[in-house]
Amino acid sequence: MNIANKTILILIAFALVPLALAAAFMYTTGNECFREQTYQSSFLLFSFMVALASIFFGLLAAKALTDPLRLLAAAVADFAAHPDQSLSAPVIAPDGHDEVGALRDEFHIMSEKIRHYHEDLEDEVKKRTAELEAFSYSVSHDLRAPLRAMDGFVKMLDEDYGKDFDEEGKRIIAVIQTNAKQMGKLIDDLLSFSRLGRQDVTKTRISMKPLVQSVYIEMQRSDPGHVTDITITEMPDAFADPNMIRLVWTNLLSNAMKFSHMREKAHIEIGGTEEADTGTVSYFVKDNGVGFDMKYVDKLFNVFQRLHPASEFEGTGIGLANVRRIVERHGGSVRARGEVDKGATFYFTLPSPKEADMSEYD
Amino acid sequence: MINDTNYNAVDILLVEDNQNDSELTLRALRKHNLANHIHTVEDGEAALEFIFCTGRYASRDIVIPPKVILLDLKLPKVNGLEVLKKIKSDERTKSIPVVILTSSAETSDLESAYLLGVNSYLVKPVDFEKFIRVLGDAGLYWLLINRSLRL
Repeated sequence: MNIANKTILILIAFALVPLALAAAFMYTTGNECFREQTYQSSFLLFSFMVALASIFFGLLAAKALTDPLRLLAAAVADFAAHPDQSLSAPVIAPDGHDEVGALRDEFHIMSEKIRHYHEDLEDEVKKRTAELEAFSYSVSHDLRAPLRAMDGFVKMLDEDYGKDFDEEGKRIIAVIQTNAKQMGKLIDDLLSFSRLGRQDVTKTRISMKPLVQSVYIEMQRSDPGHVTDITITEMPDAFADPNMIRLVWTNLLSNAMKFSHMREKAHIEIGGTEEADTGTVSYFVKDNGVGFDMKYVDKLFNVFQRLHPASEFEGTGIGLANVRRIVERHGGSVRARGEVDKGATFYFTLPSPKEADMSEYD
Repeated sequence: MINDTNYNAVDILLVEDNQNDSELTLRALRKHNLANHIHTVEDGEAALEFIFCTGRYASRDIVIPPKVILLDLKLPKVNGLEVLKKIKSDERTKSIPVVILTSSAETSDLESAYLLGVNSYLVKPVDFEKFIRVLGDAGLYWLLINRSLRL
């Protein structure tokens, strides 16, 4: 029950008082003149008028009280929806220094403060992003140049003076070259990871099954000798950035292939389900490869974290970190289950296109 | 032959401040016999003087441009994008092919270069063999395959 309705109820109760008093007075006093019809009816009429007047003025008072409150409530709702914008209209006319007026003033001060905090935060984010841009630029340019010189000049040494080196000398040259290449790869991976954090996420409806199939065909084409038995079951569509999600599948699929290729019958299963209650869709990639110890599951998605020596499986350890970054930028989550020598399953969630359709009608 | 005094005979102008990189570039081009008429400058200011025949290069003739300019982005004094802008906004020089040769694969650099009218954009590979291949291919293309205005 809102304030206006409550006020009406109270007023009606108060208005009944003079009527009840009048009635009681008439019947309990034995006064002759009150017994007369004219006095009785005029007294009743007077009481009735008093009651009506009190209801009328009461309603006016209630309206005067609730209107500014309603405006204030609308302003609060407006502010909650767009906290970064100044209030478009004053909450109430700038008169009245009552309690509601005080509330309005406090709300104004608070909203201005929040807006300032918001602006400061935006500025801070812009500053940090610019710093990050400068950092990644410097990484890409300044770190790569000396590396190229190292790799190039060792190669020149090998080309021009290789004949003067014995086996051990040649091995040392090869070690330097391998490491220069590895560092180049690490720098490139770090850059791609940082770029994924800065890139805008452009969401659209993705037909997931054809996307997964095309990623798989592309990988087969680049490595035709690698035969893997793959099952792609029906899966729901998602609402996400197609380029980024392509990268997620490329990483997960190449991992599944890499860690199961030693199996006589390498098998990969891919599927997905709709999670109606959370408005998300969930996908998985399951392989029967070397798996991993669940003890280390928390480390799996960290940058440059590897659970296998580079001599067994190549890679820098950026793939799953990229997967997590992309999925989390879509508001989804990643998780993994595995068992040593039994295989691994990777799961991730994304927004459902149904959720997107619904928010369009808001 | 790095500093050919007959500047009018220069086929390739290499604008590169990192001496190691220019040595690698020269080696790559030499492998394809493309380094006979190459001139190297180490900053954007010298590049502009060469291209517009002023200062140290006042004796050069502007109507005989190099066949291609290999331009780094990060340069002392005047940076690569500014040099590119000057070349492409002058009627006398805008037809000279300019190839950006840089470590930066940043989208913003690519965008700026193409908007300014660059003819090609190459990212220097860290791997030396790839570097030799990329430079060799680019040299062959711009000097032997591509037809420039200069005969």
